[in-house]
Amino acid sequence: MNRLRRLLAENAVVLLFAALIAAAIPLSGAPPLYLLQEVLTRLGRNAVLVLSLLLPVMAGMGLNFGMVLGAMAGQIGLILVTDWAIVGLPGLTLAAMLATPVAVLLGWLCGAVLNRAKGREMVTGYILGFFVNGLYQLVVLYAMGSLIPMLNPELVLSRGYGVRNVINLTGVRQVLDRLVPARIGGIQLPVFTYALIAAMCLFVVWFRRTKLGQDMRAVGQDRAVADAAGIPVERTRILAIVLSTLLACYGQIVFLQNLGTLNTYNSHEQAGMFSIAALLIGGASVTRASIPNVLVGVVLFHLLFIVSPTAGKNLVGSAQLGEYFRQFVSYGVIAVALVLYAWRKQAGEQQARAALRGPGVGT
Amino acid sequence: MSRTRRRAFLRAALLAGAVVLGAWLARTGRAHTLFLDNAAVTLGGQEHPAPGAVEVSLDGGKPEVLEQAERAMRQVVGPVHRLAIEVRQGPGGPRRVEREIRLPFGWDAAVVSLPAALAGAPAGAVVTRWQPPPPEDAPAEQMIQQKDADVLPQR
Repeated sequence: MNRLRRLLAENAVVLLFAALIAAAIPLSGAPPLYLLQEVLTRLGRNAVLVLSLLLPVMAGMGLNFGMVLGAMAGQIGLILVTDWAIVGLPGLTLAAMLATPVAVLLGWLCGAVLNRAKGREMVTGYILGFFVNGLYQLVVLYAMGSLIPMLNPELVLSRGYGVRNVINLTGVRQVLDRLVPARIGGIQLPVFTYALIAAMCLFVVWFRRTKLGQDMRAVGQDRAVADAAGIPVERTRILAIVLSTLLACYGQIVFLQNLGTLNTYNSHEQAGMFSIAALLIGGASVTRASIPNVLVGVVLFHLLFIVSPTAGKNLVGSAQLGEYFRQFVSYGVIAVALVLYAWRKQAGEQQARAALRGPGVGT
Repeated sequence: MSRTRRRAFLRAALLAGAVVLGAWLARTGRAHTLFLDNAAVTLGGQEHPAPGAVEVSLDGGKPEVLEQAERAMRQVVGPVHRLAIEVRQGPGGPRRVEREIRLPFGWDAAVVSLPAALAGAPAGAVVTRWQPPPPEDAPAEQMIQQKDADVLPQR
């Protein structure tokens, strides 16, 4: 009985969302084939972004709200290749190559700042995202077209500098998804994108077994013990954030190539929030996250995204309600996870204090 | 070689490799717009009239029929392309010409003169850079000066 209760408690979020979706699907009236196609497409679109969150959790740095820095780096790479008219797989690869040094630099900056805010990494990363967003806007709105030459006048604002609000990524649109096309029973499968996601998952599994991966786990469990064991704690934490930012950069490139449109000034803003919400819905917590959490989370979160507007419309006659609901869910699940984390931490500290006092105290 | 020097050498080699790979990707992935032009052209004082209907194909793709003085637009990727022209009727009779065309990296769009290609003209005469026409000067916005008394309601 205790085991069942523990199992239910550990998977409460997943079960809650599964029940919500089970109730919403019949209400939405969406055909199963359509739902399957949408979920498979969104899995390919979002999985790499969510995977990028695993390493900082392993290093005890919580959910990396600073992943938007990587997303911004990816967008800079895509803006440049679109401006130079480099298309297809070479264009996408070049975008990733151009974005890599930017992502590494931003990741290092983020890691260095987070080392000065130990214990408050999540809120610091979140605010750092806003700060770097300002720098990104400065570069994209003022430097591009003036300091950084732009070749394609269609991308530049009519005043002569700054990038337009929306960029059509026609040259790289669904390049990865259509590289190995497959169609099974009317369902289109982005095979190459799935292979890429599988490679990223294997990388995470392999990385955990390396010396650096073991160091990250040690740092995540106890910084003081890891330091005493000779592990360079601060360097390890910086590397966790650099790798996460780099994966987020590639994740944003995969995401945008699937969409085919880049909102220059706000595509990156929701990347962090939605990825973190998906990971938490998949059953992860601030201190524990795994690859199954990523995959389950993306499927559940996006299934809710797909069915909630139509379910809301059929239920109360307004699709807008479904939109509000999914916004509420994504922010709400993050808030609940953070509250649970703080509550469990406090409870653990209280238990530790009680254990120190001994059994006679307080009786 | 010391470990530090070996590491520095490896890093420099990796960086150089990345730069070379990036340059190769940029070259092979560069998109260009081609205007296949079947209009008469004058080269070195000699006029080459446009043949009648021609079948043009690029890189072994689906051929397209171009009548005299017609122009077709194609999107291509990469610097080197194979142009095949098949003349159906004209002064020289039916014939087929194949040519390799090379596009410089900086050219967004180029005009390919089919009569020049048929006449065996040098590459510089066959492929020329396409320049967009200058935008027409819009008339300067007229500012209409109005007196306040004309606009404000009279008390």
